[in-house]
Amino acid sequence: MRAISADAELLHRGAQNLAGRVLSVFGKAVNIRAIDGSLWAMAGKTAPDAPATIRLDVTSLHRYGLSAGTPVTVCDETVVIAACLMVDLAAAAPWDPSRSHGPLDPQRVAVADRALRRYGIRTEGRTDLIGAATSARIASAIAEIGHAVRRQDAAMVRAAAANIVGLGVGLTPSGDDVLTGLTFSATQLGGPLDIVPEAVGAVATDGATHDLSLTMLRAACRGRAAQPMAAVLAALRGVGDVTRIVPLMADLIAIGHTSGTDQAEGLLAAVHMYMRM
Amino acid sequence: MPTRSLIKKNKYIDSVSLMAISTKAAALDGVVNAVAAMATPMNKDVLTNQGLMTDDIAEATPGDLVLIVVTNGDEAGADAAMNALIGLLDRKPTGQASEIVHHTIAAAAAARPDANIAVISVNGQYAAHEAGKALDAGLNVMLFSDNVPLADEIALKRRAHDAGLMMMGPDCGTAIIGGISLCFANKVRRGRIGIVAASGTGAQEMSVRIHDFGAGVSELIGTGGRDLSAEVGAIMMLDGIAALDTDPGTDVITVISKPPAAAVAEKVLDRLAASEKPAVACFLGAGPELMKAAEVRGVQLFNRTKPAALAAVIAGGAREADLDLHEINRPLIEEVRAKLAPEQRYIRGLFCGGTLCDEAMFLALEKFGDVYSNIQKDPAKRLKGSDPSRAHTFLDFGDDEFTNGKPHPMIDPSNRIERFNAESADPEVGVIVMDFVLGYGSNPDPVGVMLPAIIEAKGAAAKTGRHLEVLGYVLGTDRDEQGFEEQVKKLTDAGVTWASSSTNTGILAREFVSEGEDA
Repeated sequence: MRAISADAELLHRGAQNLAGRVLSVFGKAVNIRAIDGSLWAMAGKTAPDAPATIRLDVTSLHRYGLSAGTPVTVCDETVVIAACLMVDLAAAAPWDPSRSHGPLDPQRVAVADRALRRYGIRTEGRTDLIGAATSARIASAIAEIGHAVRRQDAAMVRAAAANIVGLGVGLTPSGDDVLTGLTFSATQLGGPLDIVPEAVGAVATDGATHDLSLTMLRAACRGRAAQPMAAVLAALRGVGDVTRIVPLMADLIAIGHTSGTDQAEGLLAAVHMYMRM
Repeated sequence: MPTRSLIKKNKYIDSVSLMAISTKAAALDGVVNAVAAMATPMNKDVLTNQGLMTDDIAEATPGDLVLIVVTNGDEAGADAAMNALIGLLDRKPTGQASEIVHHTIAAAAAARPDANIAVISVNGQYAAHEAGKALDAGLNVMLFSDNVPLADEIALKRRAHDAGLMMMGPDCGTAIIGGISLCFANKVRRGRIGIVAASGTGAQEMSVRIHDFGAGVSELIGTGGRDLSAEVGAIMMLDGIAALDTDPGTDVITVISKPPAAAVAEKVLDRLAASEKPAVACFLGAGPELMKAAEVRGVQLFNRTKPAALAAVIAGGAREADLDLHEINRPLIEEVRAKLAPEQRYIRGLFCGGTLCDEAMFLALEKFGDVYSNIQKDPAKRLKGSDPSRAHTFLDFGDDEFTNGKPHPMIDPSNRIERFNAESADPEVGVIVMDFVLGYGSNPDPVGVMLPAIIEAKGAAAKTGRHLEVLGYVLGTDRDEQGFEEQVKKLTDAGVTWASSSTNTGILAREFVSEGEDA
């Protein structure tokens, strides 16, 4: 089995450090815990490039009969999962999230805002006890972070982020997804948002949330997030035709179930904070 | 209120399943609220505020799953609710094959009391009987089988209507119900546009265009191709519109059909006009009279698929200026015209999808009179599938004549390959048009199976100094398993011109072989 692409950071660690055990198996991705405790994932080719992820030349991973606990070994540049799957990393294209530059275009941002309102998954998943509390807390935290950015108060950013890290339903709770979108965008936009990644990193501590979420959140602090997020940001800064914004937002919203919507919410929150400065 | 909680250590369940479990559990008898969430400190904080914290939950870690049911009955009811929640959790995830085979519909219905739809695909002579049994079991029916007598169809649909059930079909190949795609359907975004369709590939095209414009589909209800005939009288389409009218997940109602019987079309338009939701209709080939009939009723009617999908998306709140409309590429038309010799005057359409064939044919009919097809209404212009092509010819390889004893061309392309080879050698051919349908149930590589024939034919034509123009349309989305971009790339790498929609396919084909600028 050929790997199509892989997170460059992951490849840089060296194939031998990918050995470990299968943690969970889903149709679109298989999560693996490496011997050093870190997580990485194998995903099908329809999934976007993302941190700690290797994309394989298959559409679904269900049919390989993988199960949690299966040992993952590495020989040269081949990852072997029991007798089920051998993945050749030799031809995998190293992926780094693209960096965008230039001013944000308010008209394009307005298109993205409308797309999120129109196509985001707004209520599903936020209807139970935890979900009901999530929306209000996230809205409040975003407002506080915006206020903190204006005052350049890193401690206030940290306190607001601590209120939503690990909050919400889903395997990656909504609060983490919002923080991921916001933090990744902060690393790309810079300027007044430079205080955000370190502050969010300070609350992304062991035990604060699910390990998968932590991996995603810490990557965002280092300026790494799923490619659709970088693509949307670039489009908001004038890259490509304006008509591409709605489909790019749709790609972002399509990540996970509500994760994409929450990440888009965080991304646009950062964008508005930046534009207000 | 009696409450039960349980911790599942290190339980990894994807978000879609977690949320579905929460929603289903909350709908159980006597359940006031249900939670299925990871035991992160912040979620535990919310549970503490709600007075739901227990010692077990306090000790759980972020990798653990917390299950809670809050009920309004007695203690035994709370135990039963928690057991039901655990049952939902332990159910085999969707997407994996079931190992259970039921030999009758009645047995399947009895074993799965939560099931509410039966999909039936048996030989046509037994299909009505099986559909009747499913209706008796209180199930909605999607009847994939064709060759069901018309009288049986009418009887089944009346019976379903009286029982408040859906009778989708016979000959219904596409539906998306509650987010689940049935038979031939594409993987499209869920959204708030509902579709009722009397044509399979028409339904696919509408759903794909809506997805491409960034919106999504709430429900896609198939009716079968004869539903809008004078005899059936749109029983199922009217029921489908009524269902969408009351569906809180649907904001916009869209219907699509091949040319309907005039009186039936007006009945459908009347029903759409009575809806408080915005409605868009697409009747391929609709003439001025029908367009006028829609106008006076205040219903948006189109005779092409792309503008209909666009209208539905705009009715749902999108702004046209924000969308990529995939305008017709006029320089491309000039480029192709310049490559064709004077005698290369005719279109040869070789289609898997009946509606795609219809749309291309109707667009050609707007410009040309000599248009022949195996699905032409005009008997003088109707060909048998085995007849040689005449002038502009459009063949639907999904028609009964081709599929009798053979799989549908979306699965088995052999008939079309054979015909393509013949057409590609005809010096009068200006353009060969083909559709490639992706999605569930279709060939895993529809372009790949045609590619050797295309490459060989183009090479042979080039050796004689003739340009062979092949126009291809890939009906699919970026989420379809076949890989939309890969399929398009295979086509364009082989020198095939790619069209971005069914409507654009028809327009490009006719413009390649005509003169003037009225595309």
